[in-house]
Amino acid sequence: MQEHWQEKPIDGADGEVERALTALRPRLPSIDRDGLLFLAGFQSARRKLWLWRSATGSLAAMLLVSILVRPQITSNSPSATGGANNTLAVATKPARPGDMPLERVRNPWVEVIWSSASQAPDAPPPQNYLSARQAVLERGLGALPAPAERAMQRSTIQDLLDLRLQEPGDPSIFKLIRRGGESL
Amino acid sequence: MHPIDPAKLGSWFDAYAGRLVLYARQWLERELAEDAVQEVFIRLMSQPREPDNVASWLFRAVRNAAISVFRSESSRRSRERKVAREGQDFFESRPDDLLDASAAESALTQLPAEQREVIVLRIWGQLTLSEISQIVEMPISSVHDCYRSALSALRHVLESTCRNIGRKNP
Repeated sequence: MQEHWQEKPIDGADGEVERALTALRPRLPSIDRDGLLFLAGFQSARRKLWLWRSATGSLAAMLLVSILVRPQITSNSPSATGGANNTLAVATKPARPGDMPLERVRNPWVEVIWSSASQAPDAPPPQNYLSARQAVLERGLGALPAPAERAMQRSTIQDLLDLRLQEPGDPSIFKLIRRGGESL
Repeated sequence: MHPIDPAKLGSWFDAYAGRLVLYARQWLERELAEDAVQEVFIRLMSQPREPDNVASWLFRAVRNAAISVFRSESSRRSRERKVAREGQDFFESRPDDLLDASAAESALTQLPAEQREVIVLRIWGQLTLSEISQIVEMPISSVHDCYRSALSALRHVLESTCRNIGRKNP
């Protein structure tokens, strides 16, 4: 069904008036075209620039806050409590009196490491790095194990030869070396 | 999202600037109308993407801007003064035109504001009735009736003008 307002040309006298009016041209504006295009581009770019500036500023502020505001840790290192089930207690917030509970994290790797590292102060010298570190933190440098005797000895060529020839299989070879090959 | 190409903005300015100023002149004096059109083009460039119907977007934006400026009391008073003394401002005057530019402008200014707006959008804005109905927020049938009534009214005014000229210059 065609409505009466369909886009159809208007006939008759009104149509002639319409065509006569269409022939008239609107007066050109006195707007500076190049100035307007420049201004439009400038405004558009400035808006994008503002977007980048705000994003950069907020990121910088977040970075600054993350640097200045650090979580306070009550102890220097987590304590290996051992506990009933070999669990490590990690405090996720600054500990205050009566501020409980602590979060208990059960990790088999941590259990293995701390079981090997946790030794009594008067225990024999630590046998691995972690236990040595723990001992030094608790008792100072004196807790370091004494270096092995053989490692302290300065080996010479002669010593090495003596070691090899302590029990020579053939005594004639030993004598030959002692004389410096005189018989040759 | 594709930003608007500045070259396109230039072509739109060439195509629509004069018509938009004529449309804004329905509410504002020439300088303010040009300012409003300029602001609209700057706003168009700031859009994140190109409008689907650029002509319709431009005319709607100019309408909103012009009405916003017109509503300020100072500009209204200024407009009344300006409109009273301005003339031959709407159209370029060319010898081969079928209608005299000043007569057409005079006839247009005698129309009710609603009819005049529809005539300007339809004839010089070259918009469809559907687009006009969206801009002026009227049903399409009302826009059509308004347009026909405006054409008839213009014809009567122009005919009476011609008769008067004929009587003065027999």
